[in-house]
Amino acid sequence: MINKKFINFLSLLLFTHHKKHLSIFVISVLLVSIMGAVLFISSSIQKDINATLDNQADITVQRYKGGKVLNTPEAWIDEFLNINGVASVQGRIYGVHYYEPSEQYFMIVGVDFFDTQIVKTVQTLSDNLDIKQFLQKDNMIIGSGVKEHFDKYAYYDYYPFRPPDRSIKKVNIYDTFSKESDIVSSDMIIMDINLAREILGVEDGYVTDIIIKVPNPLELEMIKTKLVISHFDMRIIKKDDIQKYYKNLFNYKGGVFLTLYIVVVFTFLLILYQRYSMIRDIDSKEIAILRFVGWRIDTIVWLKISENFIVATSAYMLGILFAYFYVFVLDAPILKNIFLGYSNLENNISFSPNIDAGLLMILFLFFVLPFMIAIIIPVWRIAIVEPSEVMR
Amino acid sequence: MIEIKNLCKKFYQKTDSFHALKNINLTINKGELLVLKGLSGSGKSTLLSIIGGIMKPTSGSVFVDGENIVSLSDYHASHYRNTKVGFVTQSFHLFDALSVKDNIILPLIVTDYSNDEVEKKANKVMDICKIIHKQNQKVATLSGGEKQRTIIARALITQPQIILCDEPTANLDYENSMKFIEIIKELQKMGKTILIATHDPVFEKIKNIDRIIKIRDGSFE
Amino acid sequence: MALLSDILLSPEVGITLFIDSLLFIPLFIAFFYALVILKNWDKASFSEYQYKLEKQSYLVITLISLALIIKTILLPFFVYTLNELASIIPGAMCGAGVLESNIYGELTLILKSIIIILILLWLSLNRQDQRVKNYLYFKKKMWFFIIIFFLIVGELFLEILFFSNISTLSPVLCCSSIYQNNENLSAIPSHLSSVELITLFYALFIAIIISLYLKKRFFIFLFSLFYSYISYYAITYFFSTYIYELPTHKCSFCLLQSNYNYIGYYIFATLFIATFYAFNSAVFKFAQNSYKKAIIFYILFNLFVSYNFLLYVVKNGVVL
Repeated sequence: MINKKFINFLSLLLFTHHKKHLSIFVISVLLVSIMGAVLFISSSIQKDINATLDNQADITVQRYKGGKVLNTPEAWIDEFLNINGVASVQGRIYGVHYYEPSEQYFMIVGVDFFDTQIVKTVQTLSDNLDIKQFLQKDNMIIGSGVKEHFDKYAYYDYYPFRPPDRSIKKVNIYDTFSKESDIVSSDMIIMDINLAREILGVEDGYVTDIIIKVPNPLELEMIKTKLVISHFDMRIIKKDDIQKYYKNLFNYKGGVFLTLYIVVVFTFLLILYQRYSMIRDIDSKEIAILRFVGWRIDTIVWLKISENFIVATSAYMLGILFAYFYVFVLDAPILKNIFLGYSNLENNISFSPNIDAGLLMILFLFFVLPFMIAIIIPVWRIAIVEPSEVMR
Repeated sequence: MIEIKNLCKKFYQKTDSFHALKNINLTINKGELLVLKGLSGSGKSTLLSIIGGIMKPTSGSVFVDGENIVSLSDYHASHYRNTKVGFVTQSFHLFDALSVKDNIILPLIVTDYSNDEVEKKANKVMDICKIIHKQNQKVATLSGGEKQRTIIARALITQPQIILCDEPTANLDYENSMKFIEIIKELQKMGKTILIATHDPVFEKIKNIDRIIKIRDGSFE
Repeated sequence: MALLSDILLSPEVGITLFIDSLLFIPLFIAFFYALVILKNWDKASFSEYQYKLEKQSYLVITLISLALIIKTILLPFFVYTLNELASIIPGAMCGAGVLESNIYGELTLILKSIIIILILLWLSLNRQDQRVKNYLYFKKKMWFFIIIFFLIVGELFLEILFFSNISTLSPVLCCSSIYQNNENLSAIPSHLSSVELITLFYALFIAIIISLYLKKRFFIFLFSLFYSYISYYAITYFFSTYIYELPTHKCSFCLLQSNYNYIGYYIFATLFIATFYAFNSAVFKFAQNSYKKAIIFYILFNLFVSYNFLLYVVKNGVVL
């Protein structure tokens, strides 16, 4: 029965009765925008994290004893190099520094500037790096969040660290990381590995942890097994475990939102059901006229379902546009802080668009299908209006 | 052509029931023009509604061309209303916000006719009812007589064999009532079977009425 | 029992369960109405009560149509969900691993497919019932709906059991282990070799086409049932290797991923539709149009699966 004439009539009806659908339309757009914003933010952050994680080592080994992470013996590095399939092994030094004036924690990361791979990574975060110049003095590159806090207490050019041996180590601020990398670098300080060792008090012969590069992913499990049997006081973290962890974390956070959202959507559906169950006189008169002139009940049902489908789908599309604008143009004020709450510094990050068809489909299914389910009974009720009602 | 046998209709209200039709028996031949005379509440609207397939009786049968329309499912009853019956009512059962033409083509939306065929049919009936000059005007802005002619045009567009008119002149002035009667005469010439339920004396002026049947309290007199 | 948050809070699973549960509410109301109708329906009576019952049946009709649309969207979405879940479940590289992670997975998928075909058959019956004038199939279709309703309830339970029993902690098998490479341990029924499997596949195809052409309903039913069963194995163990161009990669799930242009969806969709039309023509005498449509879709299905196989053989001159 659905033909050009039907569609024409449907659009006429929608146009003349647009006021009837207005309140539902507005609430729908709001709901879709919020959920869309949440999903966009989550997906954008995930993309950034994944991109960063890609540069992570394939396997990270830490010394683990009595439930505590301890500094890892440097001697293990040579041991691991002997395992087949391992391309490179490296010790890392990093730790947390407590910045008393603002009561904040900064992450100090020691970098071996003779390792070209690592230097490349650092260079993506900071554009002005001249290694020779950098290594001439005690220099560091700081994240934008760190800079803000240092500036507050007038540490514009240098900062005096206090290593565990109670001496004072003045380190110059060489550069600040670019804003684009804020999501990972905001609270980070990068310096030469030996300087970091001094400041963090890591004894000679030890490193914080060891990273291993394994080019062939099929060998990862086997190498992990070999590592495990080499020492008992060891913890091994694989890169894809981290990726799964973050994905779970985002699913979890998103999931909390989802649960709240389901409650909200359910309430909305009840409102929707109520709203469309109120059959106004004019609605029943119109349906009665259609039945009168020979329209079947199922044709009227299709008419009403199509009408509601168009309302739901247009609200969905508009909601997506608003969500896009809110997240990727306005940088999601308010919602951003809820999502990035785990970071201990204020983040002024920009979200980069990362939307795939799957995300849009999820939103569509989440909103439009429940909408259609909620209106089914009201639609049926109105379609079975007796044509003789019109005679009275 | 139309055979009504032992037709009864009871309306159930909160405390009691009301017999609108009591054992009606009637045969109407093809091409007949029949006037059903009776006051309000006599049951003539109910009878017309049942013949038009709009209402189901409590008991009895109505055979149209050999088929008992009372036992039809919604699918077939709708088809019957759409193709065999044209109903003209006293109130203006129109979509006020739509144009005259959009109202008139309502019965054809559920058919397989192409847009061109629909256009042709619409123009033809609007011509007969002399409403073609108002085709794009919104119904809400029409006069009583113009609305009535729109209803007639809508009733005619599917080229039904049976035309049922329920108090068609109740809301019309004398001039428009006469215009309506002219249209009825046209339809009679076309061979349509016409049933008019009315208590307007103006219908006594029509010369070619085949039968006048009086109805009171649900039974024929 | 998995950590609730991991699986059940992933958006894809959340939506699937939410919509399936939500759909249950109006379905239950329709079920109730169907029972009332079955108890009180009297074909011979033309009373107002009978007319009221007929109007109630329209709720059932409307709901089943909506359920069909929703279930048809949710089935490929379920498969998509399985593929997505693979990224948070250790060891899984595609949906096959997720599906096999507990005993409820396969059952859920099979039941979902059966329900869609049954709904399509119901709509076919309903259409015919509306067209004839004496409510010939009215009661039958209400009974049929009740059966479908119980199956849908079962589906919801299985789905919940399936998702809540997927563990993110213990690793699952990836498709290369599930669809074992070693022919000695093959999961192909009756331990057929690949050649025998393919011969049977094409032989059945010809048998179905002939039965459809000759309109032998019993044989159509038998052959199409058997053919869907064999097709699953033929696709997984034979044709998929030509799409992946790797003799050891035998998997029906990886076909549905983007890197193979989602060809899996085309293959399974045509098989689905063809099976429906075949069943429709076999079960319902009035479904005269379905014979031709079944033939068309079976041919399309065969084109989709055979295309890559033939292309490979022609291009490379060898078989895998």
